[in-house]
Formats: sequence, structure tokens, C-alpha cells
Amino acid sequence: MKRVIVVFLALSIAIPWSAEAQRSRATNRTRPGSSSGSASGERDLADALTLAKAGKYVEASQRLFQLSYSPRYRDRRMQIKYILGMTLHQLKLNQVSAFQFIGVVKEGNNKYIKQSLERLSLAADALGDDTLLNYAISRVNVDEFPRAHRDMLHYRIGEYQMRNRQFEEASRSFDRVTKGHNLYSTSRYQQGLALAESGQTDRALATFEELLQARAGASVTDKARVAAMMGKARVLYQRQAWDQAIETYREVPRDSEFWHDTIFESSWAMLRSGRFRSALSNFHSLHSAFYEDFYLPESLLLRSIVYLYICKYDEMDKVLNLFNRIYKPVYDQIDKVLDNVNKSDRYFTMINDMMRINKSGKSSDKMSMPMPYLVAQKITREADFQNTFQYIRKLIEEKKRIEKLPAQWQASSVGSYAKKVLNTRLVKAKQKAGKIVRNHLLNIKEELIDLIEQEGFARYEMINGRKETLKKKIAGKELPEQTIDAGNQRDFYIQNGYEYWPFRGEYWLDELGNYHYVGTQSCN
Amino acid sequence: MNKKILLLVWLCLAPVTSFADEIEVPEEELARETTLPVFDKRRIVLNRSVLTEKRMEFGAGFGIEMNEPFYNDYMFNFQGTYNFTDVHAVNILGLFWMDGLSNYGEQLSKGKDKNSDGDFADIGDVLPFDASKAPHPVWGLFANYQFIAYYGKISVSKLGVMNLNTFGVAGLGYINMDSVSAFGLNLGLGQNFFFTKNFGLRFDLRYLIFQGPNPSTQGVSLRPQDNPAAGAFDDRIWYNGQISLAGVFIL
Repeated sequence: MKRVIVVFLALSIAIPWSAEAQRSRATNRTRPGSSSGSASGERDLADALTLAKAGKYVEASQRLFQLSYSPRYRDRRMQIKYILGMTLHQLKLNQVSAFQFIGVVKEGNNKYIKQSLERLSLAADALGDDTLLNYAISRVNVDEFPRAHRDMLHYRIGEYQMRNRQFEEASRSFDRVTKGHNLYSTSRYQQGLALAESGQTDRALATFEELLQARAGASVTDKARVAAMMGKARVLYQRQAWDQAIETYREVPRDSEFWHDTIFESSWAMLRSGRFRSALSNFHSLHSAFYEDFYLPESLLLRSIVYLYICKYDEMDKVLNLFNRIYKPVYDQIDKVLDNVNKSDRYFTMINDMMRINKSGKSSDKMSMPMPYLVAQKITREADFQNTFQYIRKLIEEKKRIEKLPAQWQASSVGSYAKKVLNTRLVKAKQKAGKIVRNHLLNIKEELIDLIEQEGFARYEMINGRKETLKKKIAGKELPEQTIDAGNQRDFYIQNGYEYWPFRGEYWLDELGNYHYVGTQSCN
Repeated sequence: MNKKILLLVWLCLAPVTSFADEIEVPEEELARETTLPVFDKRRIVLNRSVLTEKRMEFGAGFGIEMNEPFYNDYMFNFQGTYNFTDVHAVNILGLFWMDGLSNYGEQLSKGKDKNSDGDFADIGDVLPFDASKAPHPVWGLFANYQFIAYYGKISVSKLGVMNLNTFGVAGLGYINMDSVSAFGLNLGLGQNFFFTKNFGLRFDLRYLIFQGPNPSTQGVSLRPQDNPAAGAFDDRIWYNGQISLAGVFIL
């Protein structure tokens, strides 16, 4: 019923024309000798509108599509296209309907542009397609946009501006999303990010605080609440307030998806504040078997640097060897893929296959992938890939919806057109996703070149450190290596009821994040 | 984080030499939550110390019967287990009851002859009741399905941690009682405590349920001079509770 009312309201713009058609018919009846073909044609349109108003969108869309190509309605083509877009939208064919609205907007110079832009924005929002959104947003007048959807528009404009690195403008757009709208939390978070990007850390912190307050009543793992914590911690890191940043990272609940990021990010803060033992404790979690499928080359180098500072050259050597063992083959494999694969859609297929393997849970298949599994995993988590991937999924869902429509509709000209539009969009979207994958691969390759070079520097420092230690040893200045493990004195670990469990090589889920490095520095 | 910072940090932190002399884990770094981190695939333990999947386990040990009034309570057990996975296994259990009577059984076998006149006819005398003359379990062989419900670890001292697993066992088997035999049901619970990756102790609490001769059958005399046939005894259902301890080795 709601749908019918919406369409009825939208079609109200067609009522004057309908009345005109009726009048025309009446005139034709009173005017003998006038064209009977014209009368029947106008009756067709009136019938199509009646069907649309009655909620019979399947039949209405078929008729309207035919009429939109009829030369008899050349003058009213934009109006028909707009109504056709509305009926297709009611059939939840967002992509196909968006094409009708684009047609109206592109033609220009007609009174349906405003409404078409509104509808196009809504369809683009539902699809989440950047291209469509950019197209709609660049043409729409916010003040003329229906109040009910204005928050969404501000949010999308903000996103668009963020992509174009217009952080000040983006912040203003996000700020216009009203409290209570379901995009409010996301827009506040994005606003905080925009402010942080523009260097306004005070305002960014205030924005994240505001979001934290707004979500105070939500559950502990509420995504917006935790995102605000992460944002706050990152801004504090940006301000070099290491201790505050570490404390804020610690507030992130362990059972939230953001927690994994806090381990690595807080390790940086610990390192910067000289808390080496704490950083090493974190690395023990981060380099556990639970993260073997995660792409973390930088964290290995960071760990090796901490070992360098505390003169643990053997451990440093092990970590650097681990880096080489994992990431040099990764680099070679990426290089090979980039050399051998030229087609964008092939990159998408590779990632898609990886996601299938991931779902099936067959770990043996991971090794047979052309792209390193951990790199593919990383790429699938990237926001730009996710956006395009979600768009592809929506297109596939739309295709499935078409397959459920009556066979007659599918065989009709609008059906063939809809299938063609979706197939073309799917191909384009997959190519786009493939390009995104390729770009990420290129970036990762660049990053690995840099990191492999740094591994060389670190190894040089390690050898140098060993040499100095040997020199001191020969000169008789050697200090005995101190480790707590050697003394077996563990009483001081057991503070206030905490228990000490020595690590024996097993990694337990409930121990992640609770490891404590108990070695001491070996510098003399 | 910008990877370029790595080198920068390296240089910036060069003068930092403030290492703690005494290790104390900061209070704020100790565990605050009892929740578990979220992963796409939830796995409780990785890099397990004790790997059992597709491995054989052999064990030998001893045990006692908890509710045996007449016969020797002690018994030996030998077992072999093949673990299909970390959860499912088959277990072959051999039980060997030690010969003889329990203390109570010994007393009963002598009877009570107040006047030591050998007639056991005085008031207060009790006729000898030698339960060893009745058929009773000598050995048994069971094939069991073993469901390993839990793998964990336990800290028994500040210095040591040992792994353990807890399992349920159910199976069928054959019980030899010399002149007669019976099929029996074995239901039990158990726990392995592993001292190393391959060696551990296995505790079992099991119930053997079987039908066998009842030595206290009415009308069957079990005096030293009697030699009743196995068929003279009535059958009854036995619920023999046993606890056993065995050393296990994983191959």
C-alpha cells in the first residue's frame, strides 16, 4: 500500500498530462476525421499510467518502455522515462531505474530533472555505486532536495568530498547530518576523520568525544562507539600524546572487530614512548598463529627494531628471517601476477576465488592461489574494494529479481533492456574492482620494496650491534645476560590474584592481548 | 602507519635507554576483560602442544572396582586409542581382574565358627561363603567410541603448565568369567593429563554393565567342599563402577 501511495504521489505530476490526454480523447471524439491512431496511442499512455497507479508495475513498465521509444511521444519522452524509472524502482530494479533517471537528467531542459535527480540519488544510495553517486551529487541542488532524504545527501556529498580530499568541505557536509538520522553516527565519525586529515586535531577529538557521548547508551561493542574510540586514539597518536593514545586503544573492547588494529597501532605508540617491553608483549599476540593470514610486514620490522634496542640480536635475527621467509615470496608472487595478468576482470576473478576458498574453509586451496592469500585477504578488507564488491553483489541480486519476474516481462523489450543494462554494468563493475585490486597490488609491491630495503638496514644494524658486543666481551666488559626466566622467580608476576602462565608455544584465543614479555634488555 | 616512520623512529629513539631494572608488569596492562577476540573463523587454540589427530595412543595402568564386595578390587588395564580427529577417537580397552577375594570376601570364605568345633551350627555361627567358587570376571575386551569434548591446560604450580583433555567413552565388549562369558556395555568419563607432548596420565571413571552369575544365589552353597556348576547360579545385572589410572604414550 505504501509503495502504491508513493508512486501515486510521484505520478501526480503526470496527472495534468493524463487529464490532457483525456481531453484530447474527448476532442477527438467530437472531431470527426481526426486521426484514430493518435487517439489509440494516447489511450495506451493513459492505460499505462492507470496500471502504474494501480500498482501493476510489471505491466506498466512494459507499456511505458515501448511508449518511451514511440516517435508519437517525442515531446513527452522525458515524462514517460521518469514514470518508467519510478515503476522500475518499485520493482526494486535500482540500476535499471537509475538509467531512466539519468536519461531524463542528461536530456536537460525539461521539468522532470529535479525529481529525476532526487530519484537517481536514492537509487545510487541504495546501490552504493560511486559513479552514479558522483553523477547525481554533482548535479543536485541540496536545498531543493526533499527534506526526508537531505541527510543522506549531505552524507554522500561529504563522502564525495572526502574522496576528493576536500576535508574542510567534507566536515561541513557531515556536520549537516541531523542527530537521530541513521547516518548520524557514521557521519560524525567521518567528520572526525576529515578534521583529523585537515590537521584540526582539537576539533577532531571533540567530534569523536561527541560521538562517544551520543553512543553512551549503546552496547559495549557498538560499532559507532568503538569506531569513535579508535578515531580518538588515532588523533591522540597524531598529536604524539602516546600515553593517552595507548590508554584509549586499551579501552577498545576485545570482542570488537577493531581490536585487532589496536594491537599494532598501540605498539607504535609504545615504541614511540619507549615502552619496549609493552610493545614486545603486543607483538607476541600479533605474531601468533591467529594472525598468520594477516598481512603485517611492518610489524615484523618494528619488532626487530625493538629487539635491536634491547640488544636481543638472536631474537632480532629470527624475526628478520621470518620476515624474509614470509614476505620475499609474497613480493615475488605479486610481481609475477602483475607481470602475467593484464586483464582487470582476471584480478577480480582471483579475489573472488579467494573469497570462495575462505568461505569453504579449505586451507589446502590457499596455497594454490596465484595471488598470495594474505595479500588477497588484505585487499578484500579495503574500503574501495568493498564498496565495488557490494555494488556487484547488488547488481547480481537485481539480476536474480529479474529472473523472478514473469517470463513475459523478461522476454519483453524492457526485460531485454534491463538484462542488457545489468550485464554491462556487471562487466564494468568487475573491471573496476579488478583495477582496484591491481592498484592495491602495485601499492603493496612498492611498500614491500621499501620494507625489504629496511630489512637490509636492520640486518646491518644487527651485525654491527653483535660486533660491538663481541668487542666489549673481548675487552672484558661483558655483563651477564639477565633474564627473569633464568631465575625462576615468578612471585612478583602474581599481583592481586593474577596468575602467571608460562608460554609453551600454544596460542589460546583467550590469551591474545594478555601476553607479557618477561625478558630483560641485554645491552651492556 | 606510515612505513617511512620506521626509519625515523629508529633514529629518534636512539637515545632512549631507560630500561626497567626489575620487571614489573604494569597494572594497567594486565587483563581487564574476559571476552574473546573476534575472528572470521573462531578457533580456540592454535599450535597445540599435544597433537592427537590421526595418531595412536597406547596406555597401561591399574584400577579398582568401587563397588565390588567379594572379589579382589584391583585390576590392570591396557588400551590403545586411534584419534581420527582432535574430537573423535576409537579406543580398545583390555581389563584384567586380579585373582582372589577382597578382605570382606576372605572373611566370608572362612565363615564364623564361634566354638571352633567345625560344625558351624551354633548360634551366631556363619557358614563359609567362598565367592571364588562362583564365576566372576577374569578379563574383558571392549571397543569404545571416545568423544573428546575439551582440550585445555592447567597450571598446577607457578612453574608448570600441563595440557589436559576430557572425554566421554561408550562401547561394547566381551567379559570372560572362566566358565561363562557375557557381553557388556562400557560407559565412562575420563581425563588425560599430558606431562609432555607425548606422555601423560589417563584417569578413567567407568561403569561396566553386564549380566552375570550371582554368587549369593539362594540355595547355592559355597562352602570349601562345594563345587557348584556355573549354571546353578542365577543371573543378575552387574553395574561395576571402576576408576583407573594409566600411563599413556602418543605415537
